[in-house]
Amino acid sequence: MKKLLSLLLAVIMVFALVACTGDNNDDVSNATSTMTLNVGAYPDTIDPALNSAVDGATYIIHNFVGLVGYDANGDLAPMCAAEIPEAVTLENGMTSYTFTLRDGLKWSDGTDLDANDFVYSWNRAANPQTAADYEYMFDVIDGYGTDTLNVTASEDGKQLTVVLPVDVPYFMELCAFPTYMPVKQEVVEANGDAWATKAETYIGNGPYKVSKFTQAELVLAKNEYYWDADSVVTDEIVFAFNDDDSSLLANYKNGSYLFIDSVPQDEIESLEANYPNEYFVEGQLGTYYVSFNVNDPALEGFTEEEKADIRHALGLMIDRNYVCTDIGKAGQVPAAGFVAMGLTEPDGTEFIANNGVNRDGNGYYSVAAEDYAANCAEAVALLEGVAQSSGKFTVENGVAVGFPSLTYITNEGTGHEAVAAYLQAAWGTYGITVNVETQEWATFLNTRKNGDYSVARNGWLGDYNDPISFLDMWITESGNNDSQFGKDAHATYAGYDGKTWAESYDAIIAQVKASKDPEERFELMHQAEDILMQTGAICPIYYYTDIYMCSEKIEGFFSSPLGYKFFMYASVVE
Amino acid sequence: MDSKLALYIVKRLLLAIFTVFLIITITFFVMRAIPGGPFLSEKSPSAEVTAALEAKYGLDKPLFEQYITYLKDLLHGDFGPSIKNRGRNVIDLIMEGFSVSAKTGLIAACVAIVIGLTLGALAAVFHDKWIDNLIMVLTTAFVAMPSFVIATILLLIFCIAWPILPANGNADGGLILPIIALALYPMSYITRLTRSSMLDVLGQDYIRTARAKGVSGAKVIFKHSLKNAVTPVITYVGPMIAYILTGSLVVEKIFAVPGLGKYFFSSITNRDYPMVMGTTIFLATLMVIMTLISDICYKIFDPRVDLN
Repeated sequence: MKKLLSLLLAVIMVFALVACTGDNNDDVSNATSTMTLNVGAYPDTIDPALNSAVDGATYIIHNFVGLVGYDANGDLAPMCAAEIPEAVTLENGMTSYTFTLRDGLKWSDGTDLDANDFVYSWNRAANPQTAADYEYMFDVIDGYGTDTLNVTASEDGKQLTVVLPVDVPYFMELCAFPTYMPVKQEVVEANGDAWATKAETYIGNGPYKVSKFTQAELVLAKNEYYWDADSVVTDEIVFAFNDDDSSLLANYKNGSYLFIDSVPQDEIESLEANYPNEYFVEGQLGTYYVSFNVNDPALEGFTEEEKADIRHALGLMIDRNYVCTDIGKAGQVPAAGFVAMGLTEPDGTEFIANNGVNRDGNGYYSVAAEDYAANCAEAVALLEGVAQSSGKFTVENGVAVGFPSLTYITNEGTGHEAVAAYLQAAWGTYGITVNVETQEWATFLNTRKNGDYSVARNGWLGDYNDPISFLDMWITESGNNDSQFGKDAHATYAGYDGKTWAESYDAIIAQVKASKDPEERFELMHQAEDILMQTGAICPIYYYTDIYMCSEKIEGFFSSPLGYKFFMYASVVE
Repeated sequence: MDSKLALYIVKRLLLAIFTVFLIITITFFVMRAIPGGPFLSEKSPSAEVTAALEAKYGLDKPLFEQYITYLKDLLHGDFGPSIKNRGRNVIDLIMEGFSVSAKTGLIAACVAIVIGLTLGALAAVFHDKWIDNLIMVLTTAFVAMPSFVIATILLLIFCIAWPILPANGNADGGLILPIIALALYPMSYITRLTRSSMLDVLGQDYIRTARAKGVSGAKVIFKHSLKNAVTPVITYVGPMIAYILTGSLVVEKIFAVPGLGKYFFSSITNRDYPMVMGTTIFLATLMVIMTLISDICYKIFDPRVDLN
């Protein structure tokens, strides 16, 4: 038995020795130029149809390209299409676009790609059976919701015609979106969802192709079959998977990574000071906000008007400048409306430059630091009004007495919890007791979606450059209607110009979607935001920013407002 | 004797199978009882998509039926697909992660055992001398320090202040720091166990007899004392190896090691039910096997132990 034990030990030691020496020498690359970057952890999926994550989208845009895409200046430009087509109005009032594809388009395995591939890919992504998070991105195309989209390829496969019931201004942007990128039917059908998990079957048509895909990294090599292969300078891109902020920074500082998409919160100030040319803060299409449940049982007994006044008062008590500069510390912009900054109107102005009931860009309340005291005074006045009309509590010297206590839910995360603590203190000053409950992520999402809460931390990132991406989420039946508008007791409340939520908000969103006049469409969206803000249930705090560190050695890189990182035109200079 | 041992092993194996089955059952139903589900996200997919996903993963069936299906698949070695990582099988994800974690963990375990035993024996032999005190101070510190503190300190020292080692596990030599971070706690624990058990043995009559008979110092320590002092260490080492082989969430995160550790946590956060089951079964099985092996080793080192 002792011999057996010695043998066992010897085997273990040999195994350990083999394990030690069996390092990653199998991926010797002949690349002449390479860059190692980080934009996130091991992705859930890199299938263009299934992905809904920002990091996933970055991997996808390097391996696939749509009809249109972004050129080296970050401008929308034709890619698979030879040029951006003009809209044609059809006899039935619908709009059609006919894209003529470039000659000689190929997949990364050298086989031909034509318009039929787009027909297949779009129908696949829009089919609920594919179960793509972003299948609704195709709701602008005729036939959405039926078996097939109204997208057809010409007989020779050179042209693709797509019919839209209503011409939407952001259609070309959608065509550049990952969900609209073509996938190769044979590999998808032969491998199922697994096609996008292995380098051998991950066939694309973009500037790069996958040469290695492990849980540690995604290695991309230049795709010689890319239509514009000459514009791709760097031979190899390595996306290292890592989502630990401290580890990211250590790897960035010692030069292992030339780009990191996230930094530790408490390092922001020192990075800003010490790396002025490498630390970047960019605007992002998103809003961090607090949502109130309109059917909150804690406020039962108050009328709907009183509830709205209470919510408005709580919203006015928030010092958004303090949250941005002392908690967020990442260049966040105090928000005076729900629709984020960075979205453009037909006349080229920013949507937020025209927001607020007066359409003057001052929003729905003032976020100027000097107006904070006035906001608080207004909040107290609102509370006094509610105290008087309801008789359920009193306001003495600006402090509410006997006000029901509320619960604020948030998920874990230093930033979220700091905001929660601040809100608790700010509201506490006015006698409003708020208990903070930190929930585990999936539990939190569940509680919030089901409306089992009073007040919740919330955040939204737009999907494309159009305000509708921030507005249609609040219709009664939307899965993202966390405030529970138009549901239960709120369903019958006719407080929006004498109309219920369904008659006012849902109707206006339907009008936006059917509108063919861009200016009218934007005015309707402003009206929708007016109604939304009138509820007080959506309480914007700040507009998101995207922080990243990019080495000075990288040239030609850019980031989009959706947070996608473009390295296909980038090179490393020593 | 051998047939007795064989019978014992068979009995233990049957018990192990029953234990794992019990764990599967409990985990399956408890996991489903927690609120939330795998398809929730900041942006909800539409009702049709959610329904299609539920049908795809069989989550639309009654819970008990799902349980029976799961057990049947499991008997065929099918752990099912991961819900979070579309297109990936649970077993593939686990094995990919395990190949990295096991490599790191095995080296860390060997380091911990060898250094732990040596330091423990040294401390006992030089009881109350400066060397004993030094070893005790250090090992107490390492036992008390949580692994994220140790890992962060190692990262700060060797990757930033004095950058001689890479900060990511995927680079050449990148596994050195994670191995050290993983090994320090068990090494210190083994040192302390060995020391106290060895002190106990060194005070025994037979050691005094051996010394009186003129047996050399080294022989007394290695043949007579260490061998007998090692039994409590074995009890600890079995489960320790099971834990260390399956990776540490914290250490793997800090050093970007693409191991198995992250799945124990992320699968629960994501409510990736098949992945939760897979990781639990994997760890439970490994744990049961390692405990069995350490019990057998126990018997070999100390023949007085009655297996029944």
